[in-house]
Amino acid sequence: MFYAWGEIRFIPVMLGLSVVDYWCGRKMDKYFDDKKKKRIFMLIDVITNLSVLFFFKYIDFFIGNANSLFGLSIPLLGVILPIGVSFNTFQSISYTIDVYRGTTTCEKSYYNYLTYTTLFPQIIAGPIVRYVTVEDDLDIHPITVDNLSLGIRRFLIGLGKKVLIANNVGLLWSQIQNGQITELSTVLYWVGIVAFAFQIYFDFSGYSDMAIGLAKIFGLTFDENFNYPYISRSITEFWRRWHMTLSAWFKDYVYIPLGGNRKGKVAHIRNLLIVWGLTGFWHGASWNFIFWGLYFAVILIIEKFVLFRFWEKIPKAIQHLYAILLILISWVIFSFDSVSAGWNFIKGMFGGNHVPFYNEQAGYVLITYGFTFLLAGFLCTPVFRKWLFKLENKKNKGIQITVSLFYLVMFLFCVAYLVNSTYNPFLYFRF
Amino acid sequence: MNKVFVRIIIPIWLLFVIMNFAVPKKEFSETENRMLSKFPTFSIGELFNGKFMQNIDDYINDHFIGRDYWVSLKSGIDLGIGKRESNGIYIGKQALLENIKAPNQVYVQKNIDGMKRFMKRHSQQAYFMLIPSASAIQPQKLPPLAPTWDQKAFINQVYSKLPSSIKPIDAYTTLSHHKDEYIYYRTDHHWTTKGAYYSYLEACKAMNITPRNESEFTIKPQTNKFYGTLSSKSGIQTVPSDVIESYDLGAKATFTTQNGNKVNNYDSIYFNQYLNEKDKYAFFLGKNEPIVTIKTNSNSGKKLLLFKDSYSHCYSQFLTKDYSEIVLLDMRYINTDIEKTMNIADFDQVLFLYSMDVFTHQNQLMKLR
Repeated sequence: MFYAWGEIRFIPVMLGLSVVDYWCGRKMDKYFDDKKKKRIFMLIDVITNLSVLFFFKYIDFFIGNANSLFGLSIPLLGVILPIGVSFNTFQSISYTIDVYRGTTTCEKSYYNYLTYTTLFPQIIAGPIVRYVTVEDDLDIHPITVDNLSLGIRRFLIGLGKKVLIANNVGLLWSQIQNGQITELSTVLYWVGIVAFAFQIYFDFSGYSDMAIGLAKIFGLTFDENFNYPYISRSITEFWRRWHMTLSAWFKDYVYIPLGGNRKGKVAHIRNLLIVWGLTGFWHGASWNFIFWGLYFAVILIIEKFVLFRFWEKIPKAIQHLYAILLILISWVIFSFDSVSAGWNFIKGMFGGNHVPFYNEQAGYVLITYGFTFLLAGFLCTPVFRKWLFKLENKKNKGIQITVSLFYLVMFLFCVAYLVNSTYNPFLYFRF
Repeated sequence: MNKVFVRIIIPIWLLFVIMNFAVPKKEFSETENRMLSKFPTFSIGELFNGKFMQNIDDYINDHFIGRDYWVSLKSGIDLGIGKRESNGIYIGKQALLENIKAPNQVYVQKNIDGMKRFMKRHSQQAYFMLIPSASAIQPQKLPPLAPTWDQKAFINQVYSKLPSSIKPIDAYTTLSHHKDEYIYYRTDHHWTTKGAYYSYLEACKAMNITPRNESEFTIKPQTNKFYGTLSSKSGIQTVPSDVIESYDLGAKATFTTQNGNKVNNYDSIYFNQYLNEKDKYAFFLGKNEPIVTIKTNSNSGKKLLLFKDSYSHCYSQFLTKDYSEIVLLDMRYINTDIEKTMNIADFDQVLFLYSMDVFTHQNQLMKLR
């Protein structure tokens, strides 16, 4: 139903996929001891899912590249990416491989399986929910007061992150990125990319919170997807805190099957490059995403083999600075489809492009967005959340009412922004 | 905690949902001065391309209970956290100012080409007044460090491209001299009648008209409760309302609007009925119409063709004793060839009177042959 709201056309595709998944699952179960047959069904399903993903998401990218590489002029298909196809197919694959490996049993009821693949809360923007995490809850959905309350609160936190912070700073970033702010200065380049860093985190983790909250209302417990990534002190740590369900997926279904770090240094490095190239590519059908993934691969390799040998000797503040700097640069690569535009932007951050260090425009932006930035920066740390949790667990009625009113006010603020929305972008729609 | 929270939030949420269904729907928003979206009619095609759901979203948004209060709540929060801009409107010191976007050079060129083309085929002397916006003339009202672009240089650049058949009128300098006076509305994007009057003095010099002294007009405040487009667009209601003044020369004038085959006649250029409505600026010449003819009892016999946007509405009253006939054309609403229905040679002068925003972001003058 929820899916139909946005994308009624693709419902047949989704139903079709779920039938294939279900059927292959059952077959693998039947031939559990016949390795060859089992493998065939696993491959059928994985290939089907990947083909769907390839068709909807990547075909134009490959046609475009083939055209420019061989001077062809095959027309682009202009396929519209269905919402959540990347998340959906990855979930299906995780289910099939888990059944194949025997780490989970296959779902006997098609209805339950369909519920799993079309679980509406996470369908647009993750987290990637593995079958194992929800398997036991699929049969019964108990709506209890506790779940309802926890779920609504979690949802409101997510809504607030998205509507009150991400949309706000996103407006600033889009003005800088699209050149609506014409008089740039070095300060503005930095302000811009910090705005984007806030936008993508609050947008994406906000959606995850909303999904986790909604699922909670229906008695399902999803995996967490973010764990305060911006307080990381290295890129390795960043990826343990950012989009955790995606990195776990790639680790379990690509990195480890490839041999992980067990087959010598060369294979290890190769595996890292493959996994991160794919991770980047998963984010979008465009070269900059592949570079973005490889950029992380290179840093991760350097950290693993060089930096971590003497990491303890380096002051924590410098570690933080190092991580934030590299993350910000990664967002530049991420946010510009055109590699040259991204490179231009990075030059601007480091004093290039013949712009002044500071100008009035920068001052204006700092005045008007200063508070939002401070608030967003503060909310990137776990301090507020911890404090709120503590209050929520107090027995005192007065405190409980106050906390409830806090949520209520936040809700009203969100409504005010939504009713008045002229700007409500959705950053993760192409994934 | 869980019980307390649920007991507070669920009833409020339910109340919201019920009220939204129960409260009667408006068709028109006075504050925003626009038609609100209608409940979409269902069609399979729209269902499949997602348009239907989009329309329902819009409908819910437009008819949300207490919409105006939500809009001002949002503006209030924005102000509180330091934002000085809402929906492209600067929130200045006791005034709202439109943040005019940098010119669309392609449109500008097309407009200039249109004027040139037209005047090449007609022999009258033409005049062009490009009216700067409040943000350029009254920077003292802007929020601190608010960015603007150089409209003076832009106007000079446009004027330098005009052929001798189109004479430029420098409103910028005149208005700047009076920048501390009440020459732009606080809550609306138009100039005040006073601002228009100063520019009129400048135009008289170029157009060989003896300017009329302020003492010749009956200057009368028509309302002091005008909240214009900027306050609706920004949702800011803390700026004091505006005063609309009329400068009446006492000339008898009839007023004819023409929209396709629909012709309406009025016996005055002032429309008192709009003073009781939201859009009080329509007091001057009524709402925007494609073709408007003002016939006066002036015995000058002179006829003026005026290409205009709504800035001209309060400007025309100054001319009622110097022209027997003024025809105002709003090219935004004209899509047929005007020369099929009117003889351009009848006119003695042609005036292009455009505000910065319209001239730099709409290319309607390219419709001129």
